[in-house]
Amino acid sequence: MVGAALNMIDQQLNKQLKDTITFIKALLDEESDTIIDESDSDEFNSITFKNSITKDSFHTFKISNDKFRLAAVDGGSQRILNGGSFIVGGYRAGALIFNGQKIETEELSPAVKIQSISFNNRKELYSESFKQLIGEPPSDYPRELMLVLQRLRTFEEWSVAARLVDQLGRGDFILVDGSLKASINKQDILFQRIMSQALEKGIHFVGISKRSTLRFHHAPLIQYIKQKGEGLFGKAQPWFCEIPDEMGHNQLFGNRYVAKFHPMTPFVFRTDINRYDDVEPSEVFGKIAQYCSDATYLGYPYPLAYIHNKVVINRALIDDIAYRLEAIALEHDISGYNWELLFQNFHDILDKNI
Amino acid sequence: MNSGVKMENIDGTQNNGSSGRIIGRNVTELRYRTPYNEDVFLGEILIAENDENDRRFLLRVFDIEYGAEASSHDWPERTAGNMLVMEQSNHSFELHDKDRRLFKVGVCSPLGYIVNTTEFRKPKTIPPHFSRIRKANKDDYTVLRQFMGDIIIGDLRSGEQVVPFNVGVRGMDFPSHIGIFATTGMGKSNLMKRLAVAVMESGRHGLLILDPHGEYFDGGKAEHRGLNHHPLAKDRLVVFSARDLKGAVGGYNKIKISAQEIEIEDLMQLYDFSDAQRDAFNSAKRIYHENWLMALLEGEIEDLVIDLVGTFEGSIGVIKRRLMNLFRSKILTKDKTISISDQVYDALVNGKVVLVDTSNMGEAEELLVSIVLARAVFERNKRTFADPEEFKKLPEFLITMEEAQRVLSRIAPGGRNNIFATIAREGRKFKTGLCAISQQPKLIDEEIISQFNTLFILGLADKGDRNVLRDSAKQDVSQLSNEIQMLMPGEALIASPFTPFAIPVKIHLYEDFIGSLNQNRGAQNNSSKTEMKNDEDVDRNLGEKKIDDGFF
Repeated sequence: MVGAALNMIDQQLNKQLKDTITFIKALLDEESDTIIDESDSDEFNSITFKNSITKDSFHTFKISNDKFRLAAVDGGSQRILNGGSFIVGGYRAGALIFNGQKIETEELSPAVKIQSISFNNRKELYSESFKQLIGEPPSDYPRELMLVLQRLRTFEEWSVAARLVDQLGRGDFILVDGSLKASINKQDILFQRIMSQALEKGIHFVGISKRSTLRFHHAPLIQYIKQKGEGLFGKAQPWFCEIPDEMGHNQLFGNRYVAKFHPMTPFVFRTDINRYDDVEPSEVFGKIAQYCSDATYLGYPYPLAYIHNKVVINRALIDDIAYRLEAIALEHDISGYNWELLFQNFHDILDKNI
Repeated sequence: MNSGVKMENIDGTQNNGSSGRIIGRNVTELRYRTPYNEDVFLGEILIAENDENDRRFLLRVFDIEYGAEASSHDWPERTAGNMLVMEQSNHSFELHDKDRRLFKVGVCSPLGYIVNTTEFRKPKTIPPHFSRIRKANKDDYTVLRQFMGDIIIGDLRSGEQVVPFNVGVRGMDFPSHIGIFATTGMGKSNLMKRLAVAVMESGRHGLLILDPHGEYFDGGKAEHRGLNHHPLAKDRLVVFSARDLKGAVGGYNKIKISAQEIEIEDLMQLYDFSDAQRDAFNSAKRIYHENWLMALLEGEIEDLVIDLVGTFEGSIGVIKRRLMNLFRSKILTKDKTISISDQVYDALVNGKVVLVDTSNMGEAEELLVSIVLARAVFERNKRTFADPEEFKKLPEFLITMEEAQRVLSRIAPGGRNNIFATIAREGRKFKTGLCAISQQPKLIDEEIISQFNTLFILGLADKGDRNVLRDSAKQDVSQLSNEIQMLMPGEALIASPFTPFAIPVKIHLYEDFIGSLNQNRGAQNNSSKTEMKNDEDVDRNLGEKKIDDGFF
């Protein structure tokens, strides 16, 4: 009896596994006449535009030896304590400037900011930070506490990026982690301002996405383009592919490309270049590629990898902050028992006994 | 404590302070992180210190590992894979910020810690977290001075660096026995020569060197130097040899052993005799008394069969053949007035080095000389022990035995009762130490080797040999396997209960050492207003100065 039941369960699982593969295969085979730039927030809908990618969309480029400064910006955020009705989060953003493969300056802004976010203060917190960065109040605010924390980090990143525009000059680069698509209401105001300032100073502003939501109907677009690019140029050429233009769209502040920055890398990245920048994209890619030959991060700009690792809030830091918070709580007459009661989570017990 | 203060290294260069930080582990093993471009060597001696207390921990590096700022353990494999791909496709690549991303991890054994500048304690605790690591300097080594003996043989070694800090063993510990173990070419002979002249310079201990290879008198080769080249050789070196020696500054004596000096038990340690043959020896001794040996050697078989009642002709034939074979080089004499044993013993009692060169003898003959002398010295000391006043006056003796596995293995003739095994077991009480020299310590009886308190461990290629020393050393050298394996010629570890840890040493190269003595002598001649009449005066003057003023 038991054997027969197990056999049935196994057959069901097998069927589900096969269905999954059928689904993935269909995605890989899919081609569509539309491309979708998926929205990652509730504040905007996805952008759909015509798929006009052809052979002519692909171009090779040469890696440049020119000297210039290149800044990279990234941020990190983590929940440190979860009280259910509130969280204590930490976030930070940082930047560094490379000059000829060497670090010229490095800035963390600030080391880590600790923020308590509750259902009561989330709106106020968000609005304040938003207004400080963009200059006017938001039209909406996120409901989820963790999303508030992530937004605070995003504001910090853009604040750092804005400062970098002041510091850099003609021919220099600013790389940010992610696309140059406004995904928050009124973020376009900020983007408009920063992109215009960058253009004015002759700074190339570029967003590079580690993960992209660009897709065909269901299928991921990046993999498709990579396949096409390698089909055209082989596996040992740097190249880029221009994604069809929809510049009339008020969310988009970058011309979108998919680029392979190093001849030997297996990775390609969505890359957005400031839409106001009229420099030849091959020149931009050739210059960025200069920084993409680190043996560990082959094909990805090393400065972005560096700053990513620098600002990430890791387990050790979370534990340290949580420990210090508890110590201060004890000093303020919150007993250890109450502290544990406040943040206990039975998942922790479950996870420890897997 | 050294909080970022610049200090002077032992070699006079500036010590820029911290070269690493402790990252953890336990009381028997400490690990520290150091920049990737910082050289770390096996055997290097380091200091761990902190601002929280005044303890300075002495650490010794026993392993070195790679480290990288990467949370995934396969980071190096992936990165190396990318490098290979790029090399194969002729593309250039970089590895940015090596200083930040790469590092080394030094794995150390805590040797002990220094408190109040002069007190050295065993490491029963650990340094505070993230203690600073720096290279040891002059001040740090000063605390070890109290453990260094009067028989200087080299300089302290820290990794590949030779530290100008003399290392020596105590002559008073000679009776606790010494083992010198090394593969051929790793510096056993050099060490022995350096040890011998240190004893000559000390003048307070007796050293008997049994030299079957003829390498100690003049070095054996034109480019080498021997004990005879030392300025004190004339007064402090007494040489016996069966071959002709040229240029002996103090002259030399021909090896002649009186038949009366040889005991039956000496012969038993050379050959395996049957019970019947042993009976024949005992009968001969009973009948011919002190002339038993010559009677057996020179008597006619027919006569001996009659005298030694109950002994078969065959047994006597075997004995005679062996004895004739043994004494082919004519070192044996009937002259009762000659006693090499007495001459050797007298020299040793007077704190001299006695070199017995047996290089032109067959192995059995050479062993016989060694056995007779070792037994004579041991027995004399044993007899003197009965007279406490006289015994107190005796200096410590050390008898060296080359290829010691021949006489100290379980299967050696005479077994555990041969004279060398006896000295190893009982010599300590009678101020008689054994210095066993061997390239195969694993062949030496475990019980015997455990009697050796001081081990000079030089380069040993064989793992079995290293394991034996690890198990028998009086210091825990189990963490030093890598270092022992990597020892270069002339580099050694001295493990003994008289030092707080196994001391890494670079043995003075004997030729350089003798050269430096001659240079000193030249300088002394130039600066001295006193006219020296001849070389003899110069030598004597130098010798006196060394002994009285503490040359080292």
